[in-house]
Amino acid sequence: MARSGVTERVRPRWKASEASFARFLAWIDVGSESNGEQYLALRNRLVAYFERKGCDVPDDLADETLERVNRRLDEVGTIDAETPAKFCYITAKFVFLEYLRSGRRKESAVEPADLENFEARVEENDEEKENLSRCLDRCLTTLTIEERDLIFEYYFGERREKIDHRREVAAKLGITPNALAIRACRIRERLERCIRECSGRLK
Amino acid sequence: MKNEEISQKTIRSYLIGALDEPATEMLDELLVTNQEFADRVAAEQYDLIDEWVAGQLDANEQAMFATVLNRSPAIVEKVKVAQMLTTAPRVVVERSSGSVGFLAGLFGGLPRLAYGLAGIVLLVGLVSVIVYLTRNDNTSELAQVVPPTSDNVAPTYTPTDGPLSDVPTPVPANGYRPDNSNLRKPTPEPTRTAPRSFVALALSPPTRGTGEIKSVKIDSGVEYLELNVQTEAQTAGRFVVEFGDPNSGKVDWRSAPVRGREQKGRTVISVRVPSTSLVKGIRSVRLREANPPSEILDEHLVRIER
Repeated sequence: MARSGVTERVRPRWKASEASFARFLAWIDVGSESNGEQYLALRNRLVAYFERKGCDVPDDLADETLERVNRRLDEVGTIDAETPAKFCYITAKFVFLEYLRSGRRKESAVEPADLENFEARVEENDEEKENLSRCLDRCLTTLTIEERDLIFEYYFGERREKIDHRREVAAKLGITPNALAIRACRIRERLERCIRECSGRLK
Repeated sequence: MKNEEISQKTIRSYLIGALDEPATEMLDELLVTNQEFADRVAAEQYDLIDEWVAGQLDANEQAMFATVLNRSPAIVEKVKVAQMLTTAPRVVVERSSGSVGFLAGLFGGLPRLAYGLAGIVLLVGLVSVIVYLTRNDNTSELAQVVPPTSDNVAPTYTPTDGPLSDVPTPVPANGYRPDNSNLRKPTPEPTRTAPRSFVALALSPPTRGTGEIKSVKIDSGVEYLELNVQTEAQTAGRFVVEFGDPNSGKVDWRSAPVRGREQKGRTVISVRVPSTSLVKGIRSVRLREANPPSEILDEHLVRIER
């Protein structure tokens, strides 16, 4: 099957059949053969939604949302009332409400004192600092030189200077400032993910 | 509402929880249904986190963002990673500019210290000490060799390097005709992920015209010279920096136009000079206004050693 590699990569926890999952991917694609990329993008947006809502398990809730939609599609055969993304959003709202009712959400996830003392606590932890630096070194080598250049140029300067400089960089690259922001953001997300995975392995 | 109709200010208000419930719900829906909007929110969130870490949020934003952090463990994690990166040990390179962006803070440390990419490198510190001890005694010169084991790319906007090196040298209409025949073309950026090394040099007004010659050693592993030129010229425009023969005026290398930065009443111009463009021996470093190209504003003598 053309999508078998992606199927393995994005298969949800619910044991959907191969055929039903393929139908689900096709429904999300809305006619474009994205090979699962639309599914992954939608999942990331759902994770961002649950993060903003203060959920401590945004990935699980995003997966739960997609599983429910998949199951619903399997049951009724077709969902035409809303676009796939809109339908997933509506489902996500219900999932979030259930999450709230379950009492799993913690209102005070972090004490204000903890926020203020981040730096102090990190200063005391030399081993953590050492691990982080090693991870940083390692993760930077996973970027291409162009990506490193771009991200440094993007974050150069402060306040007004930063804004002006970003406009200049975007103009030189022949892209809009928004497109530049998106590129820089994606590079940083990759870097962040890499650092987290790496520092988790070192602990 | 469409993504294009939503301003960055609105997105920031959304992120710090400053919008009312109907507006928040509308943007929540857009976050899930519109990839472009989700990308803008993610980028703005990073900017917000960076400003939080740098202490640049105003009191109101700070209080509201603290409330968001208080209920969002995932965003707290992002902040923690950003904060921990600012305190991780790293190699720093002194530079004359005081402006340090957040990513410079991420990889370069405290305010007024410059940029670095990372890491802990005891070897870099040792080599820096060796270079410091072997350089001449001019205390205003800043020259630290960064060996290839660490990647300290200074975030100087230098269009002659890397992917932005396609800015053409301006062709003036006022009769100034530089001799371009022997200009070295920028070396194409190799596609690799190995760290880059450089030396830094600062030229400041007191050395101008005194006949004093600063030396800078370019070893085989050095890829570029990070040059900071201070001038008392007060101009809001752009500058061009040239390396060339002090006698004949022949130009070895010319930068693309760059904007200067104000620092304590002086203007600082930072450029990155590929090591392959540096000719051994005594060279003049000239500063001109870029538009229109003018007579020399400042000139320094530098000895390039290889």
